[in-house]
Amino acid sequence: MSGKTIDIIKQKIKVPDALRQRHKEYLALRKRIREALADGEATIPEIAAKSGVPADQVVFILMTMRKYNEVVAGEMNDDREYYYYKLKADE
Amino acid sequence: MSVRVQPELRSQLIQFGIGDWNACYHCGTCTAQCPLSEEGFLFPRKKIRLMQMGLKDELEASVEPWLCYYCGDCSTSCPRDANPGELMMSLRRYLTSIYDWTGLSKKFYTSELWELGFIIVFAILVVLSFLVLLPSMGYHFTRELTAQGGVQLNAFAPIHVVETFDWCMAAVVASLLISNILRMYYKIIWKYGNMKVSLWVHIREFWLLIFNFAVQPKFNKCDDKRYWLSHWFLMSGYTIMFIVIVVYLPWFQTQKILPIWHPQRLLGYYATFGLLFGLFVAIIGRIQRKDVKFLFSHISDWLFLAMLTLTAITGILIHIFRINGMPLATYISYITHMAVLVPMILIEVPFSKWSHLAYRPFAVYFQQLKRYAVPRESGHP
Amino acid sequence: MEDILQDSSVKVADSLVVGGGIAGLEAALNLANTGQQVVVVEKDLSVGGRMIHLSKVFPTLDCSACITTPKVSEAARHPHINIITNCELKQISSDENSYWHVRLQINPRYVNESLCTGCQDCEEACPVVVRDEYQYNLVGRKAAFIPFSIASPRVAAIDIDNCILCGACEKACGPGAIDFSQEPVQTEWVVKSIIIATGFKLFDSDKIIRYGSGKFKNVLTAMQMERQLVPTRPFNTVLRPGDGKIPEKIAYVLCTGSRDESVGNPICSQICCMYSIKQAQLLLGALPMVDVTVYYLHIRAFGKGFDEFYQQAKMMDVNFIKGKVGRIRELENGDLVVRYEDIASGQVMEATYDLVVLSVGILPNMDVEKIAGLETLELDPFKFLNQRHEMTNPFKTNLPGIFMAGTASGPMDIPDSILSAGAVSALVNKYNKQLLETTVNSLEITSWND
Repeated sequence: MSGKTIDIIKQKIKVPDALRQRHKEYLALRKRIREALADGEATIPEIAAKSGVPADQVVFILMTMRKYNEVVAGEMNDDREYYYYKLKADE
Repeated sequence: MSVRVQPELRSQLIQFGIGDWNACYHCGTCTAQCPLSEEGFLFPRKKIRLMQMGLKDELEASVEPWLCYYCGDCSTSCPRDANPGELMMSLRRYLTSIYDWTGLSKKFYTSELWELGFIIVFAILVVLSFLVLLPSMGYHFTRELTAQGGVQLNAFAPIHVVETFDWCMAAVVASLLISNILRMYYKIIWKYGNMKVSLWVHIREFWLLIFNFAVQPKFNKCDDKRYWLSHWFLMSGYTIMFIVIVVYLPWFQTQKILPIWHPQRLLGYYATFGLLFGLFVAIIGRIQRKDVKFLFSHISDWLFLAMLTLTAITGILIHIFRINGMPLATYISYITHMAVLVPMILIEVPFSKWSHLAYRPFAVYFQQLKRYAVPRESGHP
Repeated sequence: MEDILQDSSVKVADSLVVGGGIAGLEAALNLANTGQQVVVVEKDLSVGGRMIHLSKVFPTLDCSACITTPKVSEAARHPHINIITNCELKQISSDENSYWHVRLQINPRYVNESLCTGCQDCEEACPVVVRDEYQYNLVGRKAAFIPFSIASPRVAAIDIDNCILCGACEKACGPGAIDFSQEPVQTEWVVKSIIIATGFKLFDSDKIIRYGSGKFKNVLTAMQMERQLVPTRPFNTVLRPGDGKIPEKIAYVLCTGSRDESVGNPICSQICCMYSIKQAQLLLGALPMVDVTVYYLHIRAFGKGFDEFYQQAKMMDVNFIKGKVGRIRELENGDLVVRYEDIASGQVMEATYDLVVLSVGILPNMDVEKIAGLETLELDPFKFLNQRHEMTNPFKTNLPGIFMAGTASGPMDIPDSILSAGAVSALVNKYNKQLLETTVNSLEITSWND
C-alpha cells in the first residue's frame, strides 16, 4: 500500500480533544524534564525539584525516554539510593 | 491458673447475635485496622479466638467488647465473612447478661416474650396506678380536675408523689446497676489473673470514668466520625432529661407555664432536640441498613429505640397540650409517657441495652486499672 | 468504523482453540502433531498469554520466556496451526451434524502483517506516549508499536484509540506496511471441537482501598514487580515508581484478593505464595542489599519442590510474617507503613517499607460466557468453567465438543496448565475422530458422557 492511507481514516474518525490535550501535556512535561537535564546528569528527585514535575511522573516519562534512547542511566549517587540520568545528546 | 475450655460457649453466644464466627482463619485483618484496638487490649480477633476455644472465664474478664464502638470496618474487610463486629456486639449483650446476677438480663436478651412481657406488665402497672392508686389516695382524676378549668398537672400528678416514686425507681435501678458493676469489677480486676491494683491508682484514674461517660472519646477514634455527634446529642439530651425529672422534678414540672427563655424550658428543648436527633439518625440507619453497624438489629435494639422515641413524643405532646390548655389530652399523654418511661428505665438500664451507659465508661476505667496492675505475690485472694 | 467486511468463504478446521496462552498453544501443538488442523484465536496482538511476560518459573527458576517462545514459534510455523491474533469471537453455534460454527471478527491493527518487518521505525516516529500495558503501566509506549520484543507475530500495530492521526508512522514505514484503510473482517470457521483456554484475569487490587493500590505510587501489583525482574524490564533495574529510588525494604502482601469473601473471591489462587517466594529470591539476586518480608496467612507450598523452594527462601533471609496486612499508609517521602497483627506474637505492629507488592490473585476470565451461543456454558460456583466431573470426565464443558484447558477451569500453575492442555488434546483427538465416524450415520455423541 503506497500513498497516504492516513487521509482515509481521518475521514472516518476524529481525534478526541482529551487525547490531544493529554498529548500536549505529555510533551510539555517532557520538555521540562529535558530542560532539567540540560545542565548535566541528575537523579530523579533532583529532576523533580528542578522541573517541578511530580517525581512519579518524572519516573514514567524519564523511563519512557530511556526506552526510546533519549536518556541514558549513569552511576548511583553516593547514598546508593538513586541513579543519575543524562540526555543521550550529552555523550 | 487452670483453664476451663467450654465448647458450648459458641452455641450460648449465638443467642445474642448473628455471625459465622467459627469461619475466622485468624489473619488479623480486623485487629490490624481497628483504630480502637491497642496494645494489651487487642480485638476483635483475640476475642474470636477465645470464643472458638470456649475460654469462658477469659472472655468474661474482657474489657475489650466495651471498647468497641462498632464502626463495622472489621466486618466489611473480613476475608471470611466471619462478622467480627457483630461478635463484639453480641459479646456486649452476653457480658451484660453475665454481670447481671438476677438472670433477667439473659432472659430479656434471649427471649422476646420475656422482654415484651415485662414491658407490658410494667406499663399496665403504671396506668393502673394513675387510674386506681392515685384516686384511691384521694387525688382526683380527670373530670373533676378538668371541671376546675385549665391544666392542673401538679394536682393530677402530685409532684411529691411522682418525685418519691422517681427516687424509689432510681434507687432500684442504681442498686441493680451498681451491684452489676461490682460483679464486672470482680470478673475483670479482682478475680482475673495474678494482679493487684493499688487504691491510689483507683482514685487517681477515676477521672477517666467521668470523662468517658461525658464525652465518649473512644467513639470519636473510629474512622467513621459521623455517629459520635448524634450519639453524644442523644446521650446528653437524655442525661439532662433524666437529671431534671429525677433530681429536680419540682423545678421542672411546674403548674405555671414559664416564659420561653427560662432555663427550665430551654433545657427541656435542648434535651428534646438531642434525643430526637440521635433517635432519628439511629432509626434511619437501622431501617436503611447501609452501614455495617446497623446491619443486624436485635430485638433489644428496636425496643430501646421504640420506647425512647415514644417517651420523647409523649413528652413533647404533654408540653404542647399543656401550653395550649388541653387538660384531658395532657393527662392522657402524661400517663402514656410514664407507661413507656418506667418500664424502659427499669428494663433497659439495669438489664439491657442501656446498661452500656455504665459498662462502657467503667470498662475504660478498668482498662486503665489493668494497665497499672502489678503482679500479686502470693497466688489468688 | 462500522463497515465490517464479510469474508464469504467458510473455513474448515478440526479444532478451534480460544486463547493463545501457554495452555492453548500446548493443546494446539499436541493436536497439530497428530495431524489435526487447528485454528488458534487470540484477542491480544500477540500470542504467549501471561507466561511470556514472566521472569522465571517456580520452583526451578527456569527462564519463563525461554520455555514459552520456542512453543510460540513452533506453533506459529506449524503447517497444521493457523494463529489469528487481534480477533474476537462473535458467535458460536452448532449444526445438525454437531459441528461448531464460529464467527470471528479480526480487528484491524492498521499494519499489513505480511509487509511489516518489525523494524520499529514507526514506533520511533510516533509522537504519542501512553501507558504500556505489556509493562503493566510502569513505562510508556507509543501509539504505533510492537507489543513487546518477543511478540508473535512480531508485527507493529496502531493503537487507534490513542492515535492523533498525524501520519508520521506511515511516512516512516519503509516497506509501506501501515494501512489505515483496514476494516474489521468477519470470517466463519466450521470445526468439530472447541478448546476454551481463555486463562484468568488478575484481581484488581484497587478494590481494596485500605491498601492504597492505585493511589500510593509505591504500592505495586505482583505483575508489575514481575516485569521489573525480566530482562526487558521497564527501568532496567528494580526501582520504585514513585521516585525512582532503589528499594531497600520490600514487603509482599499475600492473599490480596484471594481467599477473601469481602471481595467475592473465597478461593485460593494457588500461585501467589510461590510466585511471591520466587520474586523474593530474584529480588535478592537483583538487589543484594534488599530486605524482603512476606506477609502470609498460610504458605501453600503443595507442589513438587515447592516446600524446598520456600525453605530456600528462608535460608536466603527472606522474612516470613504470619498475619494479613490490615492497612497501608503512605509517608511524605513515599515510604509505606504497613499495619498488621503479628499472629505469632499476638501484637499489632507497624513496619515501614520502600515498596509494597500486592500478591494479587487469579479471577475467572468472564469474557467467554459473553460470546453469543455460549450463554449456556456451565460455570462452577466461582465462575470458572465447570468440568463435567473432575475425576471421571475432566476438561469437558456441558456442551458436547467444547473442552477447556488451563486456568479457564480454575486457578493452577504453569505445569498444571500445560498438563491439562496435554490431557485435553488426547480427549479432543479422540472426540474429533469419533465425530467423523458417527456423523455419517448417527448424530449421537456417545463419548461425551463417558
